[in-house]
Amino acid sequence: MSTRVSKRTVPSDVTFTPSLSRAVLRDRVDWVAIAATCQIPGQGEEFSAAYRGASLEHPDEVRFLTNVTSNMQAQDREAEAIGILRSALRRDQRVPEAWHNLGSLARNLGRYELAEAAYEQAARRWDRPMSAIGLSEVRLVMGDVGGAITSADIALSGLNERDPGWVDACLARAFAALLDGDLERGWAWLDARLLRPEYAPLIPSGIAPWTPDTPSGAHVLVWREQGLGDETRYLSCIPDLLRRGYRCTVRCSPRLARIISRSFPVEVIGPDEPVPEDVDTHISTGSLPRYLRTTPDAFPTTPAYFAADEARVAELRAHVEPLGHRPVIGLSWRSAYLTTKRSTNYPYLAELRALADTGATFISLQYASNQHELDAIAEYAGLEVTTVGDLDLTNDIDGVAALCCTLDGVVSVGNTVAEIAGAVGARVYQLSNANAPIQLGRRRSPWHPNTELFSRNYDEAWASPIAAIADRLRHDLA
Amino acid sequence: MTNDLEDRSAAARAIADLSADELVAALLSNDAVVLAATSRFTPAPETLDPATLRALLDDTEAAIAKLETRLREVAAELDQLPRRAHAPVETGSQIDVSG
Repeated sequence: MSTRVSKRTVPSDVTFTPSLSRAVLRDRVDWVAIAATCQIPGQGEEFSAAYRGASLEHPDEVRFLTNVTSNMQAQDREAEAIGILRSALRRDQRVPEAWHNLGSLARNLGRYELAEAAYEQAARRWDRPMSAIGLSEVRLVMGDVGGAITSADIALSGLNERDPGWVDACLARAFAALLDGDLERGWAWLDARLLRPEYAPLIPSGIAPWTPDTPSGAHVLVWREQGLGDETRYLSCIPDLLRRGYRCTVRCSPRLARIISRSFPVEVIGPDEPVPEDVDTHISTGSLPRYLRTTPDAFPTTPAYFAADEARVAELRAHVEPLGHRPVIGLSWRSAYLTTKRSTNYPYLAELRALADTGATFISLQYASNQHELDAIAEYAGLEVTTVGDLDLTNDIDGVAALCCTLDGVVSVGNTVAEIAGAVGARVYQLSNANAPIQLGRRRSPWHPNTELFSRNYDEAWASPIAAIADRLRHDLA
Repeated sequence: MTNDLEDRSAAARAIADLSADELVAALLSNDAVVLAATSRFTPAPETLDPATLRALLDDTEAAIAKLETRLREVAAELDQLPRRAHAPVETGSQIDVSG
């Protein structure tokens, strides 16, 4: 590292602007050496910053430019990173990691054709199968189930359980199998998620896993995982366990405790409560379909498995009745957790415009929202969305469930609202990505008989299925 | 202006007192303190009266000398750190288990 500091005398004709100062600083610092001492993970910001400095000294070094972009995905700066990588790849096309990262960034932005092309370029140049995982993922989104299976199999053949990409390869294979109708193997592959480190504290220790061979009468601990919507969806399997004669304790999200207690003859404990001593066996909510939903006819046809609080239904009905003319439709348009990648699952507010012409009264079921967002919908989509009383749509899930029971229908993206509404048997018009694995390629939700799916192809805007929902609302609720 | 120059002089002194780790972190983050220190001669110093300028320059030059020493020490410490090859890093978010 060069540390020579120029003992500059006072210049009479030079002003040290910030950019010139930056240049002086750069001259004194060996960024390449600093970059070489940076280790990831844990130093993502510094790693990227060091390579930014190194790239200023070596602007044609594609390895350095690739590493400049290494933390941009976590910062939702995909578009900027794509620009840097495209610039790098114009200089040198031989670095597979640059192609792979370009593929991942393009996938996050929903630019699946670019993602597929970039992953293919990486796969040709790489002796590691990581890009095959990405290829499987984007090909599934694009409707190429066979291609997705082939790519996932390539990835799996080049990895073992200890490799970083193993779980992702298994999940890619799982989702391809589910869309291919191979439920048994699909759910089995999906259990690879349990190997992820974040699952370690969730999995009860010293208790045998439940299998269909576990004797009837055993005490089963069913423990929560994933998000609230996923948990709700998979709890539809609880009646199956009870019918088989098991006694169940459900370790659930606190927000679901009341409705689970009301809906099923089970014990309910919170995430931090100790496991009852007489528990014989355990299974996660997300693993229940592996044994209980292995064929298309194994999904229930009864419309509801959650029982709303009747007193609250009556109370909320009194709030809904005066809102306006029927039909009254609940609306939810996004998740609470938004990244660039997840945002592609949800419409722009302006795309809700078609709903404004349905003649329905819309009320918000959107959690983690506020009046500003409702005002934005009115401004951008011309859609008036009202609220019901002071109901806490984020935390009062029991109230949300009761409210859904007072409505003529619910329009929702795939999120907790759609699952809760479906679980209480409400009529749901759900926006969905075409080829969403968890929907098994169906037009109606396999999990909720009253939920109809309105799908968007990977290259379509959300306005298209929203217009289809508007048509359906006019037809169904006239 | 005098205050501006004094601020920068103080910034340079502050840098000279940084630990090696702190200094490297500041360099990596283009920390405003570093930028301020290297911008020490803005605005044009001839606008200051000679006595003030001389005092500030002496102060600043002394701080720079300390900074130079500190950078040399950091360079030596960097030389002792294990270095990784400049391998390009692959990135890609995990597949969402929700499907």
